[in-house]
Amino acid sequence: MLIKISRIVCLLLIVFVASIYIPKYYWLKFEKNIRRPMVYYSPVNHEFLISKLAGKEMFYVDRKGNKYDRDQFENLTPLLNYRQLISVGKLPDSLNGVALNIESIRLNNIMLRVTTDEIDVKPIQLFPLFESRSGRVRLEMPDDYFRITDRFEFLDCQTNSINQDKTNLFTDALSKEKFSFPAKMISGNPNYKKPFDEGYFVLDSKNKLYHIKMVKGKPLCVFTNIPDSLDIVYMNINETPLREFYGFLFTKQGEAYLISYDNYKLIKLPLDNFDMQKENFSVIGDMFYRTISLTSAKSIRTIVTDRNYRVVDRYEDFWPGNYEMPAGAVAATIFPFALRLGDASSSFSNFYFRFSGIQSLLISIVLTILTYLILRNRKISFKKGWFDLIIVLCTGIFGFIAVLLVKNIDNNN
Amino acid sequence: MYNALIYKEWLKIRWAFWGMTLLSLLILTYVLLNIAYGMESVGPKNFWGFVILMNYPFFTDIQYIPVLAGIVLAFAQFSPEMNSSRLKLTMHLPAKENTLLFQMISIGFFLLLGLFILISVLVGTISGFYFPKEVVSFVLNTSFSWSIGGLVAYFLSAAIIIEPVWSRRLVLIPFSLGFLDLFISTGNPHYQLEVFFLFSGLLTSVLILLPAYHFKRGI
Amino acid sequence: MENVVEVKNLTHYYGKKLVFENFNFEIKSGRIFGLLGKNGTGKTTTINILNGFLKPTSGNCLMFGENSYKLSPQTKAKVGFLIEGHIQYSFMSIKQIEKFYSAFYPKWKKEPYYELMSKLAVTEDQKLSKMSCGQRSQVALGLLLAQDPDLLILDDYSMGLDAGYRRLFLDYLIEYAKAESKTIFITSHIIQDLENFLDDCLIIDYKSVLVAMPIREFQKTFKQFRFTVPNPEVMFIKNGIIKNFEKLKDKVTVYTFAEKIDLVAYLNSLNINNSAVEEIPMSLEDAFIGITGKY
Repeated sequence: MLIKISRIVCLLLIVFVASIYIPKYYWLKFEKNIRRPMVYYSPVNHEFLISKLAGKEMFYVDRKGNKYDRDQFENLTPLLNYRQLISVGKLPDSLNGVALNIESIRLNNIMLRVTTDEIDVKPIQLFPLFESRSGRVRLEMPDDYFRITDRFEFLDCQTNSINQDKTNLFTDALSKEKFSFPAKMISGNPNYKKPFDEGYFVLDSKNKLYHIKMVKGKPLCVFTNIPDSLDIVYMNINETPLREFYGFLFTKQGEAYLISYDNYKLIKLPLDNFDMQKENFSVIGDMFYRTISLTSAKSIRTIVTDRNYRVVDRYEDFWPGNYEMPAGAVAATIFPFALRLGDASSSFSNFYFRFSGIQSLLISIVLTILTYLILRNRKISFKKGWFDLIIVLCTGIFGFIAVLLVKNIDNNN
Repeated sequence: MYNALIYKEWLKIRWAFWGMTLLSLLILTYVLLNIAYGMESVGPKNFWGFVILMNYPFFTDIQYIPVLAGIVLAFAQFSPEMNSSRLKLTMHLPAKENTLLFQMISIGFFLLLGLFILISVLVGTISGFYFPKEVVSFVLNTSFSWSIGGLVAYFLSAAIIIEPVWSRRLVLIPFSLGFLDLFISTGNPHYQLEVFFLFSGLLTSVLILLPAYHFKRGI
Repeated sequence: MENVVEVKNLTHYYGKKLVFENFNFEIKSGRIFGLLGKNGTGKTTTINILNGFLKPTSGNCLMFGENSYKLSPQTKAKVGFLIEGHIQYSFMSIKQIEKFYSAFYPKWKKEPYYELMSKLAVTEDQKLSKMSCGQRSQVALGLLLAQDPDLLILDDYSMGLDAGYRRLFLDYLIEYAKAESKTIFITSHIIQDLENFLDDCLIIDYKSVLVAMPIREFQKTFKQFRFTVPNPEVMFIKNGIIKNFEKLKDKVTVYTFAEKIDLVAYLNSLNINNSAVEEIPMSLEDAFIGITGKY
């Protein structure tokens, strides 16, 4: 009995390892690297420009099928490529009746992005709180990091101990604003190279969103008035000199909002069915437009809005993913499923299971019959071999390999 | 009888065990010195920044210790048994063979467990001396699967060594390596996988019975 | 008298190579049983099957009435087993190995072990791996005697031993065998030592059993005759009467279980009439070679 269990564990080990590595090597050989297109919106001719690759040459097309080379593209997107245009002296003086100068272009150009990989990341929950008004040009890394447990604690790097005075100061300030400890989510930009500091947005245990920063050594804690009914699952704070919004947040329902400087009023972005687990999110902004792109492995959806976030135009494109290609169809037929232990990002690992669907069942049935014949040839009765047959039926080629490699042991003699 | 078996197994593996313990302590000392040097040279706040914000893995030197220890102990314990088929002597002892085998691997298992707990406690203490508990938990969570990988390496190596037929060994080796790789190649924490790792890791302990049965029956 | 070992219809193949077929024998309690055969005839294979270390192609073996591949711990405690080459845990010292085994056997007697060890020029802390082959054989023997088993299985005890150690080994076995109902199953290819030791013998050749009888009976009934033949071209065959023969020109030696008178009658039927048929006395070794042949 124990030996049979040992054999079953051996089979399962082989099935498990095979279902990870065989599809992996299969795709190493057959995977087509699909280049996701980039979609731009031209403030000059008000057309979408989609990047394409022909060999190594990059070109752009619009929806009417017109082709543009790189120079033409740059001329059509002067705000994106202003530095190149200045260097060749081609930057127009004005656009859409607005005079162009480097300062206002630079100020208005914004870029927000988050990839699917970054959504699940759980960083170490310690954060540096910058002095937001130090009087210096550049931000400096503080000597301590904070955590929010049942207090707002500061840990000194030098001594690895709690700075009691500062902890009390901040804990009191938060308590005064009715912050309920501990924090559920803390989001800020801990990069000291950012232009200025807006501190952190912190979701308290009652789903109330607070804005916390340090001004001249004193805590500044503001309740944002953002309704606690909003199911915030992701926040991204990113200071930009434009000071239009602090950053953006996603809700569980797939809504995306910008948190504006105007009294933390939320600006809802006009997205439909945004799936943050599958679609990369990016916003390219300039003096006139906001170009929001949602890019998955198989599609891109681009929405262009004006500066008031009213939709100006939309673009959608789909292309076959690897599983829609012949190699994918073959994989889905051969492999009943595939396992992957992926590092979704630099700090998180998990298993990903992909079920191929019903078409793989045919192969599994054929292999089960083959296994039955092999067992019969080895004179192994159904009573002893039924488990092998079940394994092959359930795990197809992987189980077949396992059963072939680990012969059925004869316990009778 | 179990005590006698412990005695025999201990005679075989003591040098390997002390050797691996010493090696672990040396590497942990190196980890400690490395942190001390980093704190000194770039300053505590920058070093904290590397660790907390960039997940600088200051403890990766211990990544392969458990696997190495698992393989070394398995060899120290089971290669003398396979030398001139000495395992026959063990199998002939008046006890159930599967019980004897489980007892044998339980001895290596407990020694390795002790070693890995020691390593975890020390690396936790070292991290806890310089960093807050969040970092300690990050370190322990990341190194957890390495430790389980060490146990898996031990169980699988034992099974491979015991297996009497080379062709079956050659089947087991690549699949064992592939399985082991899941535990040790990652330098990241697995917040949802501890249970899976623990369960599947311990399950590999029964693998030894099949090759031992092959040995016993000469098949 | 009960059978301690029963081997029934044993057939074994290594791959496609037949080792033996329909092999049957039993060992009665209290007997010293020798399995004799040339190298490669399947002695160790038999022992391995008997101890459950090899799955026979078909047939089965019983030891104390239990199927040999599923021996209970109680039965294993009653069986002492010397592995070919006197294999023991060589990483242990004389003291350590005694301490180890003593925990497993309720009847353990350490005195005979240490008595035997005291005769060797070794210290108690010396590891087995640092000993000579002869010394190791004495350690293995000492452990078996301390175990005090009812059945002792010795696979080629003589391997690698010089005459002195072989004698020493047998002296102790004889002492051991004097006790009540101790059974010994011994294999060897050095026959001369066993002459006054064995009770029963089983002589096997490739694929077949040549002799299965008490050793006294074998020595009494197996005979060697020499004669010359007038017609050197005459052909002999191994049949019911002639078990084996050697022929050098006109000088012929035959081995037979038959009486002289029957042999002469048989020779007459081959037109060999006037030769002086002379019986030559044999040692056990001569008889063994006589029946198995020199090749």
